[in-house]
Amino acid sequence: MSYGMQLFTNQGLVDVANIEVARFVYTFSGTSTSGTHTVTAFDDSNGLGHISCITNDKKAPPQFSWNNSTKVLSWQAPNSNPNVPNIFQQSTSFRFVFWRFD
Amino acid sequence: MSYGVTITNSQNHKVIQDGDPIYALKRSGTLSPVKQGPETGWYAYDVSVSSAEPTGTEEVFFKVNVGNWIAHKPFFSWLGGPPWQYQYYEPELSQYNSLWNHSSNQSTLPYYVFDRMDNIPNAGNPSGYGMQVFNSNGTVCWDSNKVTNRVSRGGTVGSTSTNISSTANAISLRSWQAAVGPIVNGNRNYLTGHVATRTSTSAWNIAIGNQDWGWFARSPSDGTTAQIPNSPYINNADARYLLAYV
Repeated sequence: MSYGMQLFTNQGLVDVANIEVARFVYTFSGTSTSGTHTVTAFDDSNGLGHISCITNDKKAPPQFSWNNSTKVLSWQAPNSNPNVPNIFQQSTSFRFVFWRFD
Repeated sequence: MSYGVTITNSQNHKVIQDGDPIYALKRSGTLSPVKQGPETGWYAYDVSVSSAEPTGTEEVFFKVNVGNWIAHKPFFSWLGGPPWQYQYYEPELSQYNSLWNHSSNQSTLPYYVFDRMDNIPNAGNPSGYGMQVFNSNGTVCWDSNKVTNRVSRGGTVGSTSTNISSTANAISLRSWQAAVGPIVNGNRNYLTGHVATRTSTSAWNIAIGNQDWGWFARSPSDGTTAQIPNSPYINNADARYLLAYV
């Protein structure tokens, strides 16, 4: 490059003009199969946020949804069919992580 | 801002800033399959017993070549029982926890674990060269001596097939969807769930698709085979994905 700035990535040096990065915003741990948590520091109004869920007990993570108006994350067990055996065991030790890309 | 550091890209998105730590590479490696088949090129990887398993604020991305797919299934090997009407037995691949199935022309699966910069070993330590950025709490937000996680985009996918325009070559995926059948008496069928396919160098597709084979139903009362006339879901839920460059 003749000017500007580059960053070291897995794909080598990349122009800062063309790179998107993720930054850590917030995290909390959960131990119940359902619940809510308020995260005022997170915003997804422009679609450039992301929430991930990492389980510590190797079991299935909860299904979750984010309400950007109330800033509340809700989680619960996935919608299971009562008429067939459920092969998922629900995690009771997990962590939500909030990311931003903007 | 009245002071500090902010460097943005052409979209005016922050790349380097002094507010929050960005994500960087923490470790990487290659997984070998714990099981192969039933179809050519189908492999299963038990992530939970490998260093690819994320903990804390980490996230794992798997590199997927064009034309290949990957799926996530957090299953246990024991699959139902009384008082259920049916039991499922002998899946070909789904016998491990935190399992990722993969179809590829090569059996190994490259993984990359990223974490926030202040959790990267030695990030922010004096190195004698380069550039570091800290926030007002003294937390390192960026370090030029570490590998920056270059992301593409993330989102949620339901039951509708979704095409994603992205030149990213790696994905982090969590899925809760599972269905099986229909099953004719005595026969087997596929297990279906969210499958992420890298369809080209500039696109991905995430849709409900075949993940595994070999499932059949058996009555727990007398052990005879049973049939499932339709294709009932087991879990009906969304998938969440995040794309990145590795």
